[in-house]
Formats: sequence, structure tokens, C-alpha cells
Amino acid sequence: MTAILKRELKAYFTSMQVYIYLALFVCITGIFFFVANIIYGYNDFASFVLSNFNYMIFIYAIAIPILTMRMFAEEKKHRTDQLLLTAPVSVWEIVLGKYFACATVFVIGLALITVFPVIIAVKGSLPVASVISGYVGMLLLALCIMAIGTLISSLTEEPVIAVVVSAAAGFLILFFSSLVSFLPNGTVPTLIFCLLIVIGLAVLFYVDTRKLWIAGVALLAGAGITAGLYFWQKEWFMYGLTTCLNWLSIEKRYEEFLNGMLNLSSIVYLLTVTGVCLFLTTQVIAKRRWR
Amino acid sequence: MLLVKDLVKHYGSREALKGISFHVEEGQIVGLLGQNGAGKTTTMNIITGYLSATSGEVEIQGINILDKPKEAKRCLGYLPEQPPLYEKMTVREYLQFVAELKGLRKGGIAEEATRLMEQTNILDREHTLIRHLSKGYKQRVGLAQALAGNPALMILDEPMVGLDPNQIVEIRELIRSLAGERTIILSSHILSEIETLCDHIIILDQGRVAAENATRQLEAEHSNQKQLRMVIKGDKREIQRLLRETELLKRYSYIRDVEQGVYEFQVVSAMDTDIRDELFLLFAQNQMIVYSIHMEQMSLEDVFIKLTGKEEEA
Repeated sequence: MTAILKRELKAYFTSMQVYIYLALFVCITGIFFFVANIIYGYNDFASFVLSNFNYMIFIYAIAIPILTMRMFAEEKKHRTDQLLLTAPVSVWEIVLGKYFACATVFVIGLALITVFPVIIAVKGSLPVASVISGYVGMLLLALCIMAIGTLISSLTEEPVIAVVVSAAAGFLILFFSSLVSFLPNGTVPTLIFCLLIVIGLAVLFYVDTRKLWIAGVALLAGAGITAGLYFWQKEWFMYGLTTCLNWLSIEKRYEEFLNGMLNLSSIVYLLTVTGVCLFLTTQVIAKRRWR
Repeated sequence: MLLVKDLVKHYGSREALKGISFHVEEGQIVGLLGQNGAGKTTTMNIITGYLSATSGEVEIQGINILDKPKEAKRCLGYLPEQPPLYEKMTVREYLQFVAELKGLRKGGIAEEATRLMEQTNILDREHTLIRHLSKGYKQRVGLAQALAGNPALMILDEPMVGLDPNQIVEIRELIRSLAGERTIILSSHILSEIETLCDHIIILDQGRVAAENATRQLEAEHSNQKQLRMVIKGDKREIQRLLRETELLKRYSYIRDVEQGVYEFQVVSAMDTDIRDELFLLFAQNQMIVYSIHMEQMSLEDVFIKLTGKEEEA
């Protein structure tokens, strides 16, 4: 894994991409810091910079997708994945080597923007706890979106497609709560939503196996489970849709960090999503061998 | 050294490999021949662990590639058809990375890279970015990466493809120099290359092993003992009359004038036994001189065409 990590870091730092990324990261954070903390005089870096929605869009829907886009898409395009996959290393080592290199670049950016809260601390009073929880939240959300970007990069050969889809995923995560608020509540919408998920899964099974009977069994099983749950606990379906989606919202959990809360369940949730995405990446790569 | 047992590979509904089995002894250079789509690259990709077989087994030095992939991969070096090169790295950086990837200890990585560059004769391009190298040099770097960690088995997929004649000679010499201490499996479209380099040949046709043997044995095995070439001195019409009338032959065909009054013919025997003595006596009795008479030996190309029914690049 260390060989891959070192190569990836070298590849990042011998290309202009990472320097432009770091420069933009620091500059744009600096602009938000200047406006919120210098011009308006607010001392809370986390609440007025890190939680600024435009700033979040820049970090999570633009900057991180640019970092993750090359990860696997380029390897596949140039066939260098043949070197990695025929070398005596596991798929996990390959994925983690690349992922940690990407995370290292982000952490370097995060370290560089520490200069802004330090300026506040030197020239005024800094709410240290809020900044620390904001930084922890930022790191966890970035790791999570990076893992999603890694997964997307493993699904395509084109870095451009990877960056566009990752950016779309970033936007979806940031706007998730707003989108959920538009959804109707009640039993019928929840049932329709469940059915759509079941149909989606059945289609996925069909695409994966090309066997109609497997998709049919998945469809029937999903519909059966939904119907069983409905007759067993009808009240779950009253507010089930929005409650469930709000619980899944990554952005809502991120807000807790920005508000100075270090909630263990949110930490575990974000790390779980990260782990699941990385696991799925290993499965996508391993599955390619069985195509 | 390498055991391939009943390999089957499906790409969707298409069956690319239909039960391929063969084994390779230590120190052999084995040529994998076949038309496009015969299953050469798929077979190589499965042996190296890049692809998984639908069913069947691959064992390298007794280690199953699916059960213990890391251990099995440690024994092999792979040069795919398109060398897996990171174009933004220098030759040294790349080879050091590959050496580390193959599990070499930190202290020996730089020495290993130097050894690989010396072995493949690319030390003069040590600090050149790979993207600035010629096709021939890139192929050498590809070979060098396959040699990293001194693997016992090397798999080379079309190592000569896209190279100019001088580069082909260079790479051929390089591969020949690598033989002996390690086992090499190589695929190529160029039959003459396989014939020159390999001491054992496996011909694949439509996902099956069509033939497998030592090169010379394969040629002899498929030679047609009934087909002969004769060079005869005499009157052309009289020679043709004798060839037409004798019961020894099924048919004959005129090939060329060798010189004034000397002609070459191809004849096909009607008997199951060797008829060279009878043919010689036939012409001698008719006051004609037989300069030469020999059974036609099939070349590898002829064997390939016979087995696969198609002509490849010679």
C-alpha cells in the first residue's frame, strides 16, 4: 500500500493540478474569512466561513471531485490498472493507497487554512471548541465525499465523467435536506418511494446478472417485504419517507459539527458511509475481473 | 511450473475459452499462437490474475492463483499488449515504484531498478520521462517492469507488436537473453518470431487448444508424408507422361524450370508406404535422372493454417 500511496502523492505533487487546487482552496477560504471575520468582525470561523453554503459548494461539489476524478478512471484509460492488479497487492491496498493519498492532499489544504483561525486567535477571541468541531466535521465530510468520488471514479474510464458525476453527488448531498422538504408525506408517497427502490434494485440485479428471473425474484421479495411491513406497522408509513431520508442526510449531520457538537452517532455514520463506499470500490474493481 | 486446467471464460453469452488445459515446464519458452479472438490474451490475463475464469484452475509453482493470489503473483511478471506505463514518471522512478510494488525491501529498490535498466539496456534513459521515449524503448521499459523481482515466470503478450524491424530484432535478442533461468510464455502474430524463439508451441483456435507440442515435433507431426518434391532431368513431356501413367501417384503438378532440361514437380502418392525408391527406379529405367526427391516438411505457418483454417501474418 505504501508504494501506491507514495506514487500517488508524487503524481499529485508533480502535476499543476494539486498546486492550483491548494491555491484556490486557500484563496477562496481567505476571501470568505476576509468578508466574514475581517470586514464584518465575526470571531466564529466555523459558523461564518466553514458553514457558508457557497463555501461548502466550492469545497464539496467542486474541489474534492477534481481531486478524486483521476483516481481509477485514468488507470483504466491508460491500462495501468493491469500493473496494479497483477502485482502481489490486494485490491484493498490499491484502493486505500490511492484514497489516503487524496486524503493527504485535502489534509494539507486543511492545515494551510488553519492560518485564518490562528489570526482570529491572535487578534481577538476565538471559540476554539466550535472551530475544532468544525474542522473535525469538515474532515469527516470530505473523507466521505472523497470515498463517494473514489467509487464513482472506479465506475468509469473518463475522468471528465467522474468529475461531473462526483460534483452532482456533492450537490445532491448539500441540497439533500432542501429536496427532502419538497417531498410529500403520508402513506401513499412512502409506499411509492419504497416501490421505486425495489424496482431500482431489481433493475440493478438484471443489469448485473442479465438474468430476468433473479430480477423477478428481487422484485417480488422487495414488494413482499414492503407489503408485510405495511400491514405490520402502518404508522411507520405515515411519516416514514421524510423521517428516513432526513436520518440519512449527510449534510444535517455535518451541520451538527459546525454548531459545535461532536455527536458520536454522526461520526460513526460518516465513517460508515466512507467505509461502505470504499468497500464498494473494492467490489467494483474485483468484479471487473469477473466480467 | 505452470498448470492450466480446464479454463472456461464467458463474456456475457459469448464463450471465449472452452476448456483450455496445458502445462509448462520450468525453463521453457512457450509460444501461444492463435488468430484474433482465439483466446490468447484472455488466457494470459487469467494466468496473471487480471481476469477470473468462469471455471478452471491456474497453478503457478503449485500455488493456485485464486486461493493465494499474492503468493502466486510474486512468481510472475506480466507485459500486457499495451505496456502499463505511467507516462509522467521517469524510467527510474517507474521501475523503483514497480520494484516496491512487487514487495522488494527498501534498501534493495534502487539497486533493483539499476539491474533492470542494465538488463534491458535502458540505463541511458534513466532520467527521461516515459512519455518522451520511443515505442521500442517503452517496450523495453515494459519488459523491465515484468522482470522486477526476478519472477520465475514471465508472460509477454505480443511483445513485438507495433515495433519496426530493428526494434523487433532488439526485443527478440532481449527475450532470448532472458530465457534459460526463467520460464517465458509469449504470444505473437508473427509466426516466424515464435518459430525462432520458442521451443514449445500451443495453438489456440476458437477458445480451444488446437495443438500443443515442441516446435519441431509439431511441424513433423503435421507434415504430409504423401506429398513429395522431385527435381528430374529429361524431356518435360516424357516426365509428365510417366507421372500421369504410374499407379504410384494420385496426382502431380509442375512447379518450375530449375534449369535447361531440369524440372521441378510436386507429386502426391497414391500408396500408404514410402514410394521414393520406386519413383527413382521408374525414371532410371526410362533413362531420366532424378536430381532430388524429398518429402515436403510443413512449416509452422502451414501447421497453423491447417489447424485454424486461416492465414496469419508470416
